[in-house]
Amino acid sequence: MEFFVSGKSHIGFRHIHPLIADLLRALPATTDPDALSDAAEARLFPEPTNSESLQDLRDDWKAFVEPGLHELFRSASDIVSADLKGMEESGDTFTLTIPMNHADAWLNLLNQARLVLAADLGFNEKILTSPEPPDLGTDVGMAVFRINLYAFMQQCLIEQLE
Amino acid sequence: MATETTPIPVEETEVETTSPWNVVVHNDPVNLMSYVTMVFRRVFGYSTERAQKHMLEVHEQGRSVLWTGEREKAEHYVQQLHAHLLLATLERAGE
Repeated sequence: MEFFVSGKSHIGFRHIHPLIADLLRALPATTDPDALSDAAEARLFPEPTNSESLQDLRDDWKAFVEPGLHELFRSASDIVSADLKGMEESGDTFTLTIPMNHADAWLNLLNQARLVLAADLGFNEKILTSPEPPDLGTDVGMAVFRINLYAFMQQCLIEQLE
Repeated sequence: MATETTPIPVEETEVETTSPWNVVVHNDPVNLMSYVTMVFRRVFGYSTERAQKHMLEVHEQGRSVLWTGEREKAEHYVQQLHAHLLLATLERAGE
C-alpha cells in the first residue's frame, strides 16, 4: 500500500491488497456506537474528571457533552463510509482517494477504531510495541495488525496535515 | 479603646469559583505521539516545541497539566480533547 498526494485537494492510498481493503471497509462497523463493548464505550467517552466530589460535572457531561461527541464520531464514520464506497479496483489491488477536507474525519475514525480494538482486547503498551510480527491466525494478532495498519494511515495523514 | 476585628469567613463556594482548574491529559498506549502533539497544537495553539514537551511528559510521567485557569474554559478544553479522543480530565489546581 502506498500513500499518494494528488494536487492540493486529494490524498489517498493505492496498491491496496484486497485483504487490506476489507480491513478498511470494516472501519465503520468496528466503531458502530450501537455495537460497542463497555470497555470501548468507556474509552471513547471517558469521564471528565477523576475527582469524586465532582459528580455534578459527570452528570452534566453525560447529559450535554456526550451527545455532541456521539454526533461528531458518527459524522466521521459517515464521511469515511462514503469515501470507502468510492474505493476503485485496479487490477489485483484497490485505490482509495480521500478529499483533503475529509482528512480530519479519517483521522478521527482511524483513531476510534484503534482505541476500540485495544480496549476490547485489553492491550497494553508492551503488546502494541512488540517487535514480533502478529499472528494473523488469531484474533489478537489480527487486532494488532489492524491497529498498526490504521496507525500507518494516520501517520501519513498527519504528515500531510502538518 | 481597642477595636476587635473579626475575620470575614470565606465561603466555600467562593473558593470554588475563584480557584483555578487544571486540564490534565493522561497517557494511553494507543494514541500516536505525532497525533497527540498535533492535537495539543490545534486545541491550545501551542508551538510544536511546547506541544512536544507536554506530549513527552504524558508519555514518560503518565500525565501532563496542559492548561490552568477558569473552570468554564477548562471544561471547553477537556471537551475538545475528548473530541480528539485523548484521555483528558479536569481537576482543581493543587489537588
